[in-house]
Amino acid sequence: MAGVDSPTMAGLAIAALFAGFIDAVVGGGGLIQIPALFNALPRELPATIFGTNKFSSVLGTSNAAWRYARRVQMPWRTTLPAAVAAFSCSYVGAMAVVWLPPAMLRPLILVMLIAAAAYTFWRRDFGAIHRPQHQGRREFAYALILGGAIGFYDGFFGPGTGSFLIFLFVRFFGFDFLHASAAAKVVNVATNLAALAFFIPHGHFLPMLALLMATCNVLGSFLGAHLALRHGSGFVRKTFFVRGEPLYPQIRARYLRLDLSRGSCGRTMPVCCGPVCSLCAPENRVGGTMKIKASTAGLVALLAAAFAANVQADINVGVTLSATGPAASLGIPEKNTVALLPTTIAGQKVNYIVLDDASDTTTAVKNTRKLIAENKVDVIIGSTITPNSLAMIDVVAEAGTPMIAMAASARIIEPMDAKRYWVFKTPQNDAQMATAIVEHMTNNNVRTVAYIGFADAYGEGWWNEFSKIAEVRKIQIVANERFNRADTSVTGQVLKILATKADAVLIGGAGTPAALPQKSLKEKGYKGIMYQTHGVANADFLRVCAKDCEGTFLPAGPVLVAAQLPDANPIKKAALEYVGKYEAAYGKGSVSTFGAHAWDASKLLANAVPEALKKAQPGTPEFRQALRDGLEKTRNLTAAHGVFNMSPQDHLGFDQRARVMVKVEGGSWKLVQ
Amino acid sequence: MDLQIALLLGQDGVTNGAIYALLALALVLVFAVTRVIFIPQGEFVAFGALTLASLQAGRLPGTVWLLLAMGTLIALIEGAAALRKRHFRRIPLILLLNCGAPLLLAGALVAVSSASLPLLVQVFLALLLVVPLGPMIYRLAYQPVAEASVLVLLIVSVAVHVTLIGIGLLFFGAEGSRTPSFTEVSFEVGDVLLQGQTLLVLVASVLLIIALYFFFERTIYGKALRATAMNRTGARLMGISGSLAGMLSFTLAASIGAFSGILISPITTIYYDSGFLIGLKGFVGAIIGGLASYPVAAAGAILVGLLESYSSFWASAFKEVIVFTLIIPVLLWRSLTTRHVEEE
Amino acid sequence: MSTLPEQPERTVVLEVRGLSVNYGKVEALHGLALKVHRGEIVTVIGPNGAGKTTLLSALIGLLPVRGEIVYLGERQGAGRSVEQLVRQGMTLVPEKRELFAEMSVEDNLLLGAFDRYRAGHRDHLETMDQVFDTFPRLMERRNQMAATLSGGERQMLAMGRALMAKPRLLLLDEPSLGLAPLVIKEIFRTVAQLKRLGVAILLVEQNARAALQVADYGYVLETGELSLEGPSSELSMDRRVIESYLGLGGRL
Ligand SMILES: Nc1ncnc2c1ncn2[C@@H]1O[C@H](COP(=O)(O)OP(=O)(O)OP(=O)(O)O)[C@@H](O)[C@H]1O
Ligand SMILES: [Mg+2]
Repeated sequence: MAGVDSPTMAGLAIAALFAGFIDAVVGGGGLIQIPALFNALPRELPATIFGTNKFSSVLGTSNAAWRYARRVQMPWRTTLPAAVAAFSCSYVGAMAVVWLPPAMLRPLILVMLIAAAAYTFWRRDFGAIHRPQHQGRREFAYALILGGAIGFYDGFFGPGTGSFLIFLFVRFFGFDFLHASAAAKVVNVATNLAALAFFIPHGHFLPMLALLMATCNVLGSFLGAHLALRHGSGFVRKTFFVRGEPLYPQIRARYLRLDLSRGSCGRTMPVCCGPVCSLCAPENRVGGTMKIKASTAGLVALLAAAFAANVQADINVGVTLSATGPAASLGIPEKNTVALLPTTIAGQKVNYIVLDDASDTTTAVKNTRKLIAENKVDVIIGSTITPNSLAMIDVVAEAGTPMIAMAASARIIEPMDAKRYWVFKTPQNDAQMATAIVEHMTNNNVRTVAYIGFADAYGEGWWNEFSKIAEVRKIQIVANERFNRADTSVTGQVLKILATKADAVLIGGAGTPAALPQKSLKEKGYKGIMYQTHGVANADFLRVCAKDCEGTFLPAGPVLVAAQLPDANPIKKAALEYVGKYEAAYGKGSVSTFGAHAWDASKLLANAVPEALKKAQPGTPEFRQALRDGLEKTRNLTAAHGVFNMSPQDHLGFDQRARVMVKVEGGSWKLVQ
Repeated sequence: MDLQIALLLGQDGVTNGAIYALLALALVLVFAVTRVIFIPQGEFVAFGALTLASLQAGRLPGTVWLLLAMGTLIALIEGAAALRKRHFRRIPLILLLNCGAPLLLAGALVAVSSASLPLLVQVFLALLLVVPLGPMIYRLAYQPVAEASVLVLLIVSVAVHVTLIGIGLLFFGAEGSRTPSFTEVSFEVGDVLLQGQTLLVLVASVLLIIALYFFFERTIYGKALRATAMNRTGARLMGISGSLAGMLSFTLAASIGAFSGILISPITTIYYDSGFLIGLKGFVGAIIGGLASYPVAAAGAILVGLLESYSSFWASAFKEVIVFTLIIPVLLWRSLTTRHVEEE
Repeated sequence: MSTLPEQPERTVVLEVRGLSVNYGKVEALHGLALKVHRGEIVTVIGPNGAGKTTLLSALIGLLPVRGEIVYLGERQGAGRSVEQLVRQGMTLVPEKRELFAEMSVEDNLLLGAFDRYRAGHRDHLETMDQVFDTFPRLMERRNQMAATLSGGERQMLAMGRALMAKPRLLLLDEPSLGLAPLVIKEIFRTVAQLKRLGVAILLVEQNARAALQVADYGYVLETGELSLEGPSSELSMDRRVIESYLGLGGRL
């Protein structure tokens, strides 16, 4: 599931479950699902979010429409033209979502969400008797116009469409509630399909997430309908505080029940408050608010400068890392390392403000904004993982604050552009690591190799690098499989790999999950050479994989085997310095390669700060600019993972020396000479 | 794909499906008896597996602290209630049950080095540590709101789920664990090895399902649970209180969860947050069974397992996509065909 | 006093004073007072919607009450619960019967003894035989699902299930509802038999004639308040009762 980590997924799955449930009982599930998506995926375009949302709700709607069609005499003469008009307008509405700049769209969405919630909340009872009005041509025209208008709305936004349609069918065509609901569902399916017909082919759609959410949505709606049917209107009354006077008790009881079974019902719903508020999260505060903030900040900075021209300010380093969540095994050693970093550079006091982003992209972005706006940091180190680091680029570039990422993907610094101008990173690129593996394979007469990697950005990235290099070196790739971090079984993939009789297997995974395919292969009797990536270079991997990992090869930063490096290698001293410091603080054998990326980031800073201090005061835009320039000018800086030689085009600056091949032997890492 | 691979995949699918089926049964049970949609069901899988792993590594599992904390809290609540009602004679029992027993267990774990104990004793200890969490969670989180609407109970479930995940991370760390196999036996099928452990999982799950069947069909407590699920008022009039039934069903759910976790931890790596997805697949099974039918729920869960297994062979990159795409029509079909019991 | 031979017979099992019950803001019962002794059948009659079912539900703890309930000499506090009262021998045969629809007759009966089983008694098989003696029909249908029983069979099952608990105070809500005269006779014969075993019985009935015949004492409940009471022989002579509840039978 590229880019979406499992807590986010679980959160969205639960949101979809609720949405389906609410939709089935009272309607208005979109009011939950859309804010949840916006909140969880701050970096996705609104169009992508709508596409995903539509997909997840279209099934529920079609289900309901079909149920109606079976039981209710559908007023096709009105419904059909409305549906057709709605279809085309909804397509246009979806186009408008893509066409409008997101900066304009987000506040608009907030307003619409509140409006839709308010409407759902205050809606009154209506339509007890079926008395079709507007016969003939007029009806036809109305159907076209109104269907079109609501269609556009649904393509453009969505929540509340069902109730709007019901309202209009009742109000303008004199349908009773039941017939109106039936017609509304049909039109709603049309609009949903139209929007999807636009969103999906244009790539505004996260397939995996959409499917997961669709499943949960259906589960939820099933649950809702089931309970509503089973416990009748009393259940709805208990679930939500239903207002409304018992005007036509019998009829009402009937249509309420009938309607409940079909998935939407015009009732009040006081649940929109939470999600709506969450849409106001900083991520979504755009335009005006930001400007006011920026100008206030500017004013404050001016005043501060006037008053304190002579006072030397401290250097503030903001750190956001993933100390909890799925990437915690990488984030924790980084956090430990930050505690060991020097508190003065060139005689200047350095403050580290460390925040945890819980491996969550939204939080990483929030942290970055907070560090910049509130802590006025001069540089940001982080985050631990690629999706977070990518998301932070926009923010640091906007604020003109240099950032040093501790995540691996080359995409963080390539291709160089105006935004990445501000971004550096310390971990080796996957390409360098992949080259090392391919070289080792060539030297060991590996002709055929099977690849199995994470079904996410990590596995995909490795596949791209590895397959490119392997092809050049004439190594044949006989299998390309994927698995999820959370999978409990990879038997299918392993059987397929076994059938290819590959000379070697490369497992593109990180941390302990990478042990699963390896163990399965061994258990099923695989005898070839196994390769892992540097993502597994920690003690937990060895613990989990145990004897099944003996003899495995992997590329890694030299710090992993610092003590085994030849004395002539300058990196040995730098790496041992780090290992010594870390183990002195946290115990023997506690060191891992990941913390060393934080260490190297501070090395880069220590190298660039003195020059920058000569040019400007910490806390000023000039200082940040100077610091950035200084980082880019790093030459021949030996650190724990290699030797940095930055350039305007290369914001990593590592060469061959930054990686070694390592073999697992006797439950520990051995340098391959 | 030849027959041999097909069989192996089928075996793998049924093995995983059996675990999902167990969880599906637990979900159906808990829902039918208490109306709670037990999202944290999966957490018991993770807690069971990780507690066993901690024991085997000779570490004191964090679950001990959870057990102690929850026990103390319950003792306080119940003790205060007993004082108010002047039932002083009950207090020693309350203390013994909620504080004494966990303390004793903790003491025993500190005294002996758990790593050197035989495997079966370790398993037993892990169950002793994890299973009581079920009724305790019921007592603390659900019983106070037992009469609330399903939606409120669902929200409580989400809260419990999130809390347990957080606690899991705190106790067991972000990295996964794997426990050694119960058996080292393996069979050669063609040129592929088949681990005895996977068969053990299958056999044990089937045995557990049969045991559950007997519990529900043959014992008075099992019948009492079914009775509560069918007719809450009727059951209360027989003296089967909602909280008794709740405790009992949560104990069963926790046992099923922990047991499943212990079963699969030798064949896969379990993380503190592994439970949710495993539980979700059980949930799909439960919904296929309309949250009411045990056999259909179990069959649905096994179907999910099979789908997973075959799709991971055919197109591993799209495994989840395939599984969910195929499940949705089944769910829709179920939702259209299930005969809902109208108000009696 | 102690010389009175029937003194043990006259132990008060249940005494209610000033009992009021509300559904939300609406008061369904107002200031009721009644007494049931050991080995006595007390009947409450009244028109539809008078609050008879409400009274029984309140007594067994299904509804919150105001006022004073003394059961077995113990004043019931706010913390009373259905389960606790069941443990103390109070049993209700509810108007809606509340059977376990998808369970066999036998299992339904078995669960009637659940609380006794839990308290450590293991005599449920003998009790079940006694119930089967009383209702041979249930014996024939012991493996049938409760949901598929006929209306009369359901009533028998509900009654039988209550007997499984060996109650001290049996609350009966319209046991004759919809039954054939012969079966009604059988049911009332059982009730009378229970009385001889020392069980206290509070019987709510529409069938006032039959109820007053079997009962020792009676109350008339009208729109939530007791309007009349007295030994059943006197009540069945009362003009108002004859007019309202015994139909024209008295006059003709
Ligand atoms: N749950 C409830 N909520 C509101 N009012 C109720 C409820 N249950 C009963 N009532 C009302 O309380 C009054 C007494 O009802 P109850 O069922 O006790 O009557 P009853 O004497 O048993 O009548 P019947 O002889 O028809 O069974 C009725 O007016 C009824 O409508
Ligand atoms: Mg009644």
